Amino acid sequence: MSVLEIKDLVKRYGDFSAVDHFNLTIQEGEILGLLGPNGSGKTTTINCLLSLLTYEFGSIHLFGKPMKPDAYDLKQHIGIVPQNVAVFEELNVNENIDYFCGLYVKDKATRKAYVQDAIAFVGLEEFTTFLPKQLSGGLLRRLNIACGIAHKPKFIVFDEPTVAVDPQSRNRILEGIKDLNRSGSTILYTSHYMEEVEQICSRIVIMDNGKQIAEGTKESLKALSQFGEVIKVETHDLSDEQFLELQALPFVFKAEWNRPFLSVYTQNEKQGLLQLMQFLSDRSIDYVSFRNEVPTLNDVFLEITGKQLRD
Amino acid sequence: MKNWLTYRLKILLKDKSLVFWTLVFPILLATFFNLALRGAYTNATVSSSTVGVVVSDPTVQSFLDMLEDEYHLIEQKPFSNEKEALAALENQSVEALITYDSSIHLSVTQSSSNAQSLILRNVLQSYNVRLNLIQEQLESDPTKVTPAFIDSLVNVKMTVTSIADSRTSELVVINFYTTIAMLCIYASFWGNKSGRYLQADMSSIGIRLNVSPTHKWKLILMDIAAIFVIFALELAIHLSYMAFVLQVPFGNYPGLLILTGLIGGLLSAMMGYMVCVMVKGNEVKRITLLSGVGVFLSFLSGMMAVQIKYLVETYLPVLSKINPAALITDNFYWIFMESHFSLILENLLIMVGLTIVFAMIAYRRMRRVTYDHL
Ligand SMILES: Nc1ncnc2c1ncn2[C@@H]1O[C@H](COP(=O)(O)OP(=O)(O)OP(=O)(O)O)[C@@H](O)[C@H]1O
Ligand SMILES: [Mg+2]
Repeated sequence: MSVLEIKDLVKRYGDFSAVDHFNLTIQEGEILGLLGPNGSGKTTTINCLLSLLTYEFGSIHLFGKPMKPDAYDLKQHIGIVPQNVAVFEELNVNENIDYFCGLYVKDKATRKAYVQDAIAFVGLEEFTTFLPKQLSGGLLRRLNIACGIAHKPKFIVFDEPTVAVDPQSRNRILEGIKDLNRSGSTILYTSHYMEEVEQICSRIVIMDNGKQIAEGTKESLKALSQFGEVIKVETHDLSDEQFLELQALPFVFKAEWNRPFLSVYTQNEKQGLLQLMQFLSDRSIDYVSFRNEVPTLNDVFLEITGKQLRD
Repeated sequence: MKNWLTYRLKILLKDKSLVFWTLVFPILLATFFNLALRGAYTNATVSSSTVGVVVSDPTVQSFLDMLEDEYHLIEQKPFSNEKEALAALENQSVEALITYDSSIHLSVTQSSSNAQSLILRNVLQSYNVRLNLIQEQLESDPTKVTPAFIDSLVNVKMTVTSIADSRTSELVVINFYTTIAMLCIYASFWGNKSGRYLQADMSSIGIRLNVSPTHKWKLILMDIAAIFVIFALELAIHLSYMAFVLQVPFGNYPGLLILTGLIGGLLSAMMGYMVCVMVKGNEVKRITLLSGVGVFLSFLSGMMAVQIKYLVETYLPVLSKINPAALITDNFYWIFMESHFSLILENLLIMVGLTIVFAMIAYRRMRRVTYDHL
């Protein structure tokens, strides 16, 4: 069953299309990564699917039913972690989570247990009586997450939840999201960090200028890349003539030479590494270091759009 | 539900600047009045106003003579017809005009609409009421109109005595009532603060509340309940401070006073709530608007200059019947004067009505809302 189905969504601000004929389907059990640079329309898409924003065109279905502002039965099963931290400054950690959970869960005993679960989930056990302003940026983000997931929703939207979070906490959050997914939640995760998306998402949609520009698993997306891998060599022995000779070889897609660094992008075949080593040893060229990298989503993004994913 | 109310109260009460303006400031003002006006209790002199009189009925005339001779409330200037008298009122050679057909009427010029003429108005009013009662009785059962009955009703002398004796100190009391009205009007800030959270385009918390399955009317009711509790508390503190610390006398109808205060505060809070829902943009803009509206409505209600009140009542009577500040202050004044009970009730009903209207407007605006932009 598809949990979310967005068809042909158009959202305009005046003449500007923030979301431009965008399609997105998420199946039950998926962690879908919505990847896009700043201003690509991720948050706008989320606000439309939550019926917070009006839109010019398209349709949005959640759990197979049309999403509307008064679709309370659907809303019961949605969790949202908004991009901007949304908690009450006046309430402490425990009270904040309890307040927002209380919008979904009326039974007091159940709610108490849920709030405990959420606190444990984000690891804020030692901070339950802290006010938001007493929390560090990373801890505040964790509270923001706890407030969105405490009611154990079936479908959770995370809008860049790890901004300003240190790598350790970030990892913890990402692992937590995987846990949520394992315990049955379907997840929409937006980010402009491809590492995060690569780490947790089962499927990835790349968005730019309000449009979907690529879609697939991380492997299938990487396959979109025109080159197989990039081999980086540090050497002082390569002459300019030899570099020209190298560029002409059939396995080389593209090569760059900034003494002492040589980058060789191979054609889409596996033999590149061996062939390059052969080339170097045939000419007795010594090297300081030698390593190869597979293309990242960033490279894919760069190739498709001509711009970097990150600022 | 109980949890929610507690959280709401916490959220509102932790706003220190709001607590200052809605509670501490009116108390400071009352304290200031107390310091400044204590002297007035003892030093005030009573001056009478020159009043044009067009009266042929001897009973009424003797009543007016009594007001002049015994209480120095008026200085009569008889006119043979109303036209002449009105002309005198126009060119201000008299400050007020008393005429009589079946009841006594008091006309005042705008410049002399002071507390003095209010007292006079009140005295004449109570005289009229008693006169009417006697007339009604005469029509239905003349046998019951005995001298004793008339005596019991035409106790005007008593009324006049009580007012003339204590009027200077009571005029001071009116200033304290103004601080209660102010407390009510500032309650609009509570409404404004609450309303903000419900709107996704005003606060990120609004996003959470809007995507939750809890109905808007429940959230709004919860807000109103919290505001009401806070306001009732503030009113209790304010009144206790005036009664027990400043020793301001509250007259014979404290219950009515409190009821007007409670309903007035709720009305004003709902006005703030509605403004918050209708007026987009930043918080400073809304706070400025609310303060401005509060001051303007108070001004129209005559809180700063009583003449304005009569201007409004003469040229735009509807306005004084829908102006929350006027409704509140009028009621306080009448309660203080112990008169116009039917008008007090009418004002209370209008206030309740306006509160409901404001709440409905806010609700309609928020129900099933999707925003054009966030
Ligand atoms: N209220 C608004 N009025 C006009 N334009 C807007 C408005 N809100 C957003 N936009 C524009 O819509 C586009 C999409 O914005 P959106 O916030 O959806 O991007 P995003 O992908 O979430 O970016 P980020 O990664 O920075 O969060 C941006 O170009 C933004 O400037
Ligand atoms: Mg965004």
